[in-house]
Amino acid sequence: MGAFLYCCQGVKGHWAIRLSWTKRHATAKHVEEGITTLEDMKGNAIADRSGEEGVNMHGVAIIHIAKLFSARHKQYTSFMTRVAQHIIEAYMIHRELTRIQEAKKAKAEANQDNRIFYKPLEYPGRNITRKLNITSTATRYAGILKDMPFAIHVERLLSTIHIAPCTNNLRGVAWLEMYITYRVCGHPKPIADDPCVGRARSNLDAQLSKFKLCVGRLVDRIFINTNEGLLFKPSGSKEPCLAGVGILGQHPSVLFNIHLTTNMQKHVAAVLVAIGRRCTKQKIQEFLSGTHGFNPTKLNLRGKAALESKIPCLEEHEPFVAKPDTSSHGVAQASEGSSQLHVATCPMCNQESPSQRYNLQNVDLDLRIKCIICKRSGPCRLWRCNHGTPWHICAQHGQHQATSQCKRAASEPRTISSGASTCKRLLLNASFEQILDDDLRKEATKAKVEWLAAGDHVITLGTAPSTGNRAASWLSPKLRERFSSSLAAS
Amino acid sequence: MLQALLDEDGLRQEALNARQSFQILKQLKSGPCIIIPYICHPAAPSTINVYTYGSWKFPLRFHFSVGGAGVWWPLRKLKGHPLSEGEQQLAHHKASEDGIRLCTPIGGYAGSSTRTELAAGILAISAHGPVHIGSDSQVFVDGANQILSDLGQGIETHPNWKLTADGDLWEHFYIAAKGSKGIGPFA
Repeated sequence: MGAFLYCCQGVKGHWAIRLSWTKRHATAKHVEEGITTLEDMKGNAIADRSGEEGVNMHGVAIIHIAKLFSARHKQYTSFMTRVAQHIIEAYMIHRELTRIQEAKKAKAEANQDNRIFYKPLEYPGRNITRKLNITSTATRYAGILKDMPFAIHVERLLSTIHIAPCTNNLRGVAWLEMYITYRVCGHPKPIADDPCVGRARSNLDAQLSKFKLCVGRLVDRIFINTNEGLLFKPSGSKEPCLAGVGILGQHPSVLFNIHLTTNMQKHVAAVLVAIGRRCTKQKIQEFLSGTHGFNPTKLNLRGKAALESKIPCLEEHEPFVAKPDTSSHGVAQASEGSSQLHVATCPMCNQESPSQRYNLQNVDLDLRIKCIICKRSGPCRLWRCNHGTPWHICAQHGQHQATSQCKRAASEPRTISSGASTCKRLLLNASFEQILDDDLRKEATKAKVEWLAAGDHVITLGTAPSTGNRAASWLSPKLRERFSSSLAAS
Repeated sequence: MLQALLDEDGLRQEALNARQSFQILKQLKSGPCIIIPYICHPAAPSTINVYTYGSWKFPLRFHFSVGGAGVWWPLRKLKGHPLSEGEQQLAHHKASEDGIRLCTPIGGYAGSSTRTELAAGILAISAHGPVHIGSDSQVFVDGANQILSDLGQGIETHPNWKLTADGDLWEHFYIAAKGSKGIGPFA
């Protein structure tokens, strides 16, 4: 169509074309007002009808479909508009109702006294508790100590606490309580402060997470061949176990509770109250003495770095004072009944094989050892002796193996590595002279190493050769000229 | 009814949505028709001798809009002023004692009332002889008069037609209105 217009205009020229505006749907009134003329009114009306005829030339069916689609589209658009209006109105109503409800709740809370008073948390008595049966030590896991140097303190805590399994009448101790107990006993932070004081310290949430991670890793390693590890499973209690100190909500806990002295209980409670709210020490003491009440709050462990750093240490509590073991690092002394480990059982395939083929060491029991039978690797701590127990906790084999390792380590001095031993042998295609030179060089290096090992550093060069007169003719002309005076004297 | 129309094009109703179906139906099946009228030496008359009108149905739902163009030549007789070849090819005519009416449907994927008015104007100028078009579209009249006025005064305007609404038609209008300097086959 455009190309056609172009061609037509190209022939007709702009002088042959003129356009004028006429009134649409004009009436006699418009003619009387001079807006249009009678001829223009009639002409536009007829052209209007012609245009309508042009539309109808699409076909009755298409016009009908267009009408249907248009009407349906209009219905759908209006429907979606009403849906959108409904959603917006529903949201606005919801917001208004929520605002009214919150306002009512705030007003009711303002008028109501929800204060609670201190109720000592429940801990078991000493008579029903026992110690955890620790069968290994964290010092045998160099990898854990490298990642978590405080693991030895956690192990010390676990070895000193007295526990009582959960019952219907005895709640499980919360992880937060256990961590506070750990800190009150004077053990260090799981995440140490950065040497640069300008750096942010880890908050209580991060410290607690690290502590739980460390305990979880230790439980798998120091409670071997016992069921003590099951005690560290979640208790699943739905009760607000810290409600007595004004803290709402459920808190993760384990399947046992620990015995704390009365003084220790008050210390832990004071720390819990301080963590749960912002108040002075005097208010906390009043709360613990029962003369002051607090509104219960939800616990927020974030942003408590300064508070965590100020947890007081209860030095007087003797059994809990941390004294890291630095004596033997878990290496036991050989006893009378100890015997050498000859057969080791793979934890992967349960097949026995000679233990001399494996490096069963005590330094890091997490290192994996490859079985010569099944070719799979299992942690060193899971390998068993012929008693069926893990070798490192066996009364006979574990002690002997550890002692023999210590003796071997002490008896084998560090040898000086000779260059000859590391040099490659010459290939067979080398010449005889090259092989001879190589052998002589190696022999000389070996002799030097033996001489150094013997400690005899005095070198005997033998008797000096006789210095008889030499013929001047042996010297070159230049030397004869240079040493002419000496030659003349001789 | 819709499936019957789509069957003519070998299409299935289930494979198309409403917009696609209708766009296929309303487009013209025939190709573009380019017929050139004879040269016109006289200037356009001072009184309107042809009325044009572009109809655009259902404009609010442009996906389902259909258009048509109509032209009314008052007092025109086929005997004295026969239809040009372009008019015969582009439109249907109805001759009466009062004049001649031309009408044609407007297809295509997009459209507007101004575009149908422009198409009606093209239909009007495809006739032989000078034309004085009377249109009730102020946009079309103003746009066309602006182009003709600029060309009459020798002003060269080069708007970006591709970014203009109905620019394809307006661009040809502008080039064609240059008259004998055009590059058409009869220039």
